[in-house]
This record gives sequence, C-alpha cells and structure tokens, in this order.
Amino acid sequence: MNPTAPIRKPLHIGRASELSGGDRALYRAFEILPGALSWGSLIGCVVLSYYAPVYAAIFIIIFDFYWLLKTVYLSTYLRQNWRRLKHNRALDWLAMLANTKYEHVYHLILLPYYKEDAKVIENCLQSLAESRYDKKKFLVVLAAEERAGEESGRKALDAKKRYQSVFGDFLIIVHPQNIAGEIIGKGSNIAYSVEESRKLILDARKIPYEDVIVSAFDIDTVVYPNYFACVTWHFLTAEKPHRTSFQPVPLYNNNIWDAPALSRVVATSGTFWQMIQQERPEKIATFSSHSVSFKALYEIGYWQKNMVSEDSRIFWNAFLAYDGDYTVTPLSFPLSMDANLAPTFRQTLVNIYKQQRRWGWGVENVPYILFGLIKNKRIPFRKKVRVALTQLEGFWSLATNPIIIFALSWLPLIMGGPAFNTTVLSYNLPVVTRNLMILAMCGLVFSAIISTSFLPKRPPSHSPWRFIPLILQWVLIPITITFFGSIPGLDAQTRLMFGRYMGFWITPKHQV
Amino acid sequence: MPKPIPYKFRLIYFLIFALFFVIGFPILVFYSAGYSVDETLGLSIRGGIYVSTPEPNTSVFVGNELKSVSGFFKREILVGKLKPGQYLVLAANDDFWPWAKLVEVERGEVESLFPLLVPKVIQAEEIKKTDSSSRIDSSPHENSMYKEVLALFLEMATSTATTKNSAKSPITTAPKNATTTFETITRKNVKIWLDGDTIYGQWLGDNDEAPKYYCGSIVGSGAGPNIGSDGNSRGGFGRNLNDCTGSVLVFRSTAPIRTFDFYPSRDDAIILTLDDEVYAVEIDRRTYQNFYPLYRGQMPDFRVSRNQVYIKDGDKLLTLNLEP
Repeated sequence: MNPTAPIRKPLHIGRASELSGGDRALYRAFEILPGALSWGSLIGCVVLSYYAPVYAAIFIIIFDFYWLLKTVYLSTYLRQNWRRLKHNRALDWLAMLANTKYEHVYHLILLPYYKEDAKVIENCLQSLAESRYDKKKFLVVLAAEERAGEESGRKALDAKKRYQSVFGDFLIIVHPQNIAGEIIGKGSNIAYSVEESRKLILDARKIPYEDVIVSAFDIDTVVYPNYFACVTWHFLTAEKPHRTSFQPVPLYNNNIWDAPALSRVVATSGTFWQMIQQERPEKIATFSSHSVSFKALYEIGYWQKNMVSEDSRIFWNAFLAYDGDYTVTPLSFPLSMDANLAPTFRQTLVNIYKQQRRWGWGVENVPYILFGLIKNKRIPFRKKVRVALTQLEGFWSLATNPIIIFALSWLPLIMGGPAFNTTVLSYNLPVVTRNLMILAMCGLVFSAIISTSFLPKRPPSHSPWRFIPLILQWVLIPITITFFGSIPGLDAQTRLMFGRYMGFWITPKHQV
Repeated sequence: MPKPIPYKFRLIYFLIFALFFVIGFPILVFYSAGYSVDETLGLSIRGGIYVSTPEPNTSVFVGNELKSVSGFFKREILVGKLKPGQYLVLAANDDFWPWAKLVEVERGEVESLFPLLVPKVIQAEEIKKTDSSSRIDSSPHENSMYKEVLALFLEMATSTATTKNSAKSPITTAPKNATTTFETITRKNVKIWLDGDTIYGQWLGDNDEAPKYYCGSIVGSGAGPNIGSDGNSRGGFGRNLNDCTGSVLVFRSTAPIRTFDFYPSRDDAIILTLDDEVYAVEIDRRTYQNFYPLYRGQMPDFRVSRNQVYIKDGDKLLTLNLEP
C-alpha cells in the first residue's frame, strides 16, 4: 500500500529571503561565507605579497607542493575508476541480474526538455529503445514546458508516435508556466512531472513505489545499452536501496568529434572529476543525470522548485531528511551527453563559461547544507564537520587554486620590492614553482591516454589526423581550469555573496 | 568486479600523502630560502650569484669554477648554495673581452650581475657623404644619414646647455664649448656628470632600489661636484653605508675627457674619449672596474643616438657595430 503523502518534512529553502528572523540572518551569513573565503584568500595573497613577500613566497611554495601532491593523490583514484569503468562497460549486467529477482522493478524515466532539437530528443529515446532490458518496464515521461510553445509540444507528439509502442508507458506531461513559488528551471519541471506520473502511472497501475527507480536525465543523455541493467543490479544489491542515489559517470561523447579543443578539455575534465569522486563515495553528491528510488523521492517531496542546482540539491534534501543516513552509490558506468558546441567558436566559449558558472552555482547548496546541519540535531557531529569541510574546501579550491597557482605565484616578485628581490628565496620562487608545476603537468599524459580511451568511433567525415589535437589539447589545462573553472566559480560565489541570485540557464544543445 | 578502493586503504593512502607533505614542505621551504646542509650536518644559510648574460655561449665562472654556459634561450644563470664570502665572477666569451668582478655574497642574498660584454673586434663602418646606390642614374647625391649624424656633432659643439636627459634627447654628450665646467646626463635613475677630468655618478631612484655600488657612497647634495679632485668628500661629508643616493666617483683621468655619455641601452656603463681613443667603462668601481677600448683614431669624438655610437674621426663619420 503506497502512502498518500510525503512522510518526511522536507527542508526546501531556496535562499535567505525565504526565511525570517535569526534563521534568515544565519542563512544569509552562510551565503556570504564561500565567496568571502575565496575572495579573502585571493586578496590575502595580494596583501601578503606587498607587506610580507617572504611569507607570501613561502605560502606559494607550500601551496604548489600541496597541489602537486593533491594531483598525484587524485590521479590514483582516477586510474582506479578508469579500470572499473572499463570493466563495468564490458560486463554483461543482464547475466548478473539473472541471479536475482528483478522483474518487479520499473524504471520511471524523466526527460525534461525545453526547445531542444527533435534530433536531440530522438537520440535520447533511441538509446532507451536500444537498451538491453525489458523495455516494457520503462515508464517514459517527456516533460515539456508550456512556455516553450506549441512547436515543443509537436516534437513530443512526434516522438510519442514513434516510441510509445516500444516502452511500457509513454507520457507527455506539460509543466504549466507561472506557478507560484517556482523558478523557471529543470527542478520545477521534473518535480511537477514526477508527481503527475505518480498519479497517472504508478497509482493508476498500482505499482508499489518501492519498486520504481526514477532516472532524471537531461534530454541530451544517451544511455549505453547496459545502463538500466547496471542500475537495477545495484538497486537490488544495495544495503539500503531507498537511502541511496545511483550516480553514473557523465561522458560528453555525443558530439566530442565536432566540439572545439577548449570545449573537449572542459567537458573531459568534468568527467575526470566525477570519476575521482566515484572512488570517494563519502564525498560525492548527485550530479546531472542520475537515478534514485521513487520511494525516497516521494518521501522527501521531490526536487526543489525554487532553486537552480536541483541535481545535487536532491541529494542534500535526502541527506538532511534522513538525518545523514543517505548516500550516493557510484555506478562507475557511463552515460553520454553533449559537450558544449555552438555554431560559432565565440558562442561556444560563452556557453562553456555560462555552463560552468551554472555548475559553480552549486555553491548555493553550501548555505543550505550548513543551515540544515545546524538545524538537524540527529546527524552525528563528526559527520556534520566532515560534510561541511568537504563542501567548503571543494568550492574554495574550485574558485581559488588555479588563480593562486597560475596568476598569483609571481606577485611576491612584482610587489615584494627590492629588499625581497635580492633574496635567494625570490630567485628560487619561480624556479621551484615552475618545477613543481612541470611535475604536476606530467599527469596530463595520463589524462590524454584516458580521454582517448573513451572516444567513440571516429566519424568518417573526420580525418585520422584529428587524433593529434585530441592528444595535444591537454596543454590547455592551465587556461581551462582558470578561465572556465576558477573564474566562473568565483563569479557564482560572488553573486551568492551579494545576493544576486542566478536563474536557470539552459545549455543550448547543438549537434552537427 | 573491481571494487572501489576500501575506505581503510584510502585512509592509509591519504595519511602517506599527508606525511609526505608534512616532511616535504619544510625541506622545500628551507631549500628555497637558501638553506643547505653543511659539513657538520647542520643547517646554514647560503647566498647566490645571478648573472644575466647579454650574449649566448658565455661561460660563467665563479671562484675559478665553470658554473654554466649561457645559451640562446638561457641568458640568466643562477649560482646558488654559495657560502657567504668573496667570489670572483668571470664571464668569458671568445668574441668579447672577458668581464670580471669580485663580489661579496651575503647570507640569504643574491648578488645580481649584468656583465658588460664588449666585442674584441668592433667594426667601424664609415658613413659616406654621398650615396649613389639607390639612384638609377648612379649620380652621387648627399647621404641623408651623413647629414643627420653630422648634425649631432655640430649641434652639440655649439650648445651651451648643461643638462641633458639621455632618454629624451637623441644627443647626449657634453658640449665642447660648454660654458660650465661640467654637464649632467641622466638616464633612467642614474645621473652622471663631468667635473674637471673626473666623472661622477649618482643614483636618483629609491634608496632601497639602488645597486650596491652606489651605497656607502660619499654623501653630497647630488646636483653638482661634491667630491674633491682626490675623490674624497669636501667639507666634512661622511660615509653612510645605508645611503645609496650620494655621489660616487666613476672615473678619474689623467688626460682630459672630451666627451662622455651612457653606453647604449645601459645605465650602468659609460663611454668616454681620452686622447686618441674611445673607451667603455663600468660605473661599478668594485674590483674590477672593467674598462674596454672601443675605437682608436686621431682625437676622435663620439655621439650616442638611438642606441648607436657614432664616431667623428677627422672628417670621417663612422658608426660602431657593438655586435661581434
């Protein structure tokens, strides 16, 4: 018997202004904190370089050494996950499932879209249709937006005509515009769609909630044939299947051969980061396309409708609702998505920046998490400290580390004055930092090897020489992590710090 | 199926890296600050010598030991881990006169040196009065360059100005018929002037940015000749080692100095004429004050303009090629 209402009181705060009194002040302080830490570090480097260049130089040398060790340390996780990913891709997951009872499991697949091309929708649905799984267990929901207009609706109807016979169910749900309390974005769309699906499919067909796995996919997601078998296996073998989300590794392979080098490096760096996090389950949160138990989703009141980063926030909603007893299960299994690609190179760069800023806007989770940890007395203190520090360090590193390493390392030499510039330390600073960076960059060879191993088959339209830039592209790393990592991250944190809240920005999907 | 690395192993792995960091960073910091392990296995702070060579293939010796040879891309050589003390630095290049300097290396400090490398063989190319090369009919016509260079000599010969800014004015030499006994020439933060047969220099920039050889100078007002003909201060001026803005004696001659100016592109060396020769000499008088011949003629005169040295030797005008 399914419950008739969410059983947990969800904490669905979007921003400080939704609170009042002391809570509002506390939440606002937490909104300021990440930006203050990042700006404080950067300004501190400048001030220290001027007033105490010796200490600034020592700090930079220690910091560069820390960064080198961190690079080596994390590359081990990357290598381990690469091994697991390759293995899991080759594994026959249906054969693995043969030893379990899995016929009762349904997959509710939410595909929110806005004005993307019919071809993008088609590619996504086709990949679902080609899954090695009983497609009659797929309950596919095309989640359209009313504000996208009639054309958008026509695309959905066309898609339904072609695919409804393939799947167990195929619904088009149109998310009405201008609902009070919602911001425009994916979160409000899928939250509306999943509730409609519950009524129209699950309740109508009397499907138990605990037998349903929800996969919320961006519309450019292309699943590999074994994805659903893999998720189902993990769901059935998980210790607490309703207290965990299932996170695949996003590859950006759909258009990788057409995307420019900068876009490829940024996209693949994102993949690498997710791979590293897959090996550290206690540090990972959900990201982009992922799967989760419907029962858990229902209990915590679905995705928030009043904020942007719903993909990661849903994990924190569950984490707080279940008093810290909620995890992410890393699947080490890929999904393919689109790398940034626009008709012009300039527009591609703009899109990359905006997408990275939107991802950097995930910093809006920090005040939510810190506030929630303070309010929830049932989460163990050690866990609270670990979660808080992990989140703060993560966003601080994103916004500051590349800038400190690649831009501020020279400041003591420039600002230190003649007294500093005659010291052995000042002469050794550029030599030591350069050598540390060269050592750190040696790891890029490994990055090139891994990234080429993920490449889909070269389209005939591309010359075999095209492999060369795919290898050499990694020299762009200092540029990409600074201009498409740190700066958009800092941009997002600064906006949050000053209360200039971001809205949802849909990355344009363009496939050649 | 390969599993994620178990938490216990990850913790050990993390602790190994943390240990490596804790041990490694003090070593790196001490090394960077110039510390070194001495013979008694104790830590002692060392100094260094930095040599910026303007030419490739220059061998740099420190204390009679070859330390490095400059290359096309490697023009800067840092010799570290030197015990405090005096070191003779030699820059040697087959095409140039050797350059040497005895320097004091202090604890944790780097002595920066910018050797003045002057070619052993300097081509003096005559500037012809007439030029027929560009004319179709090959009839000679007046060479505009000759005219311009000649003007440099004529202009200054009648000038009575006493102060020139080398950076702004294309002509920066002392007037032959000057109405005063000395002229001041300034380039960047350095001022030089002639008083009788002695050239003096003065650092005009911030005291703490001054090269060492200006420090501990004979203190004076700086605007004029505050130093007696014996090179010592007049009127009871004292020496202050922390003051680097006083006047310093650059070069004293037994023969009249007819013309002087900064060496092209440098503010730490000058060119002067003595009798029948033109010489280049460093402002830095510490052992050894390097002194090189540039040109020999019949009472030649020179001008420095647009980083080029022009010679007037009798009726001839020449340009010196300071590249080997």
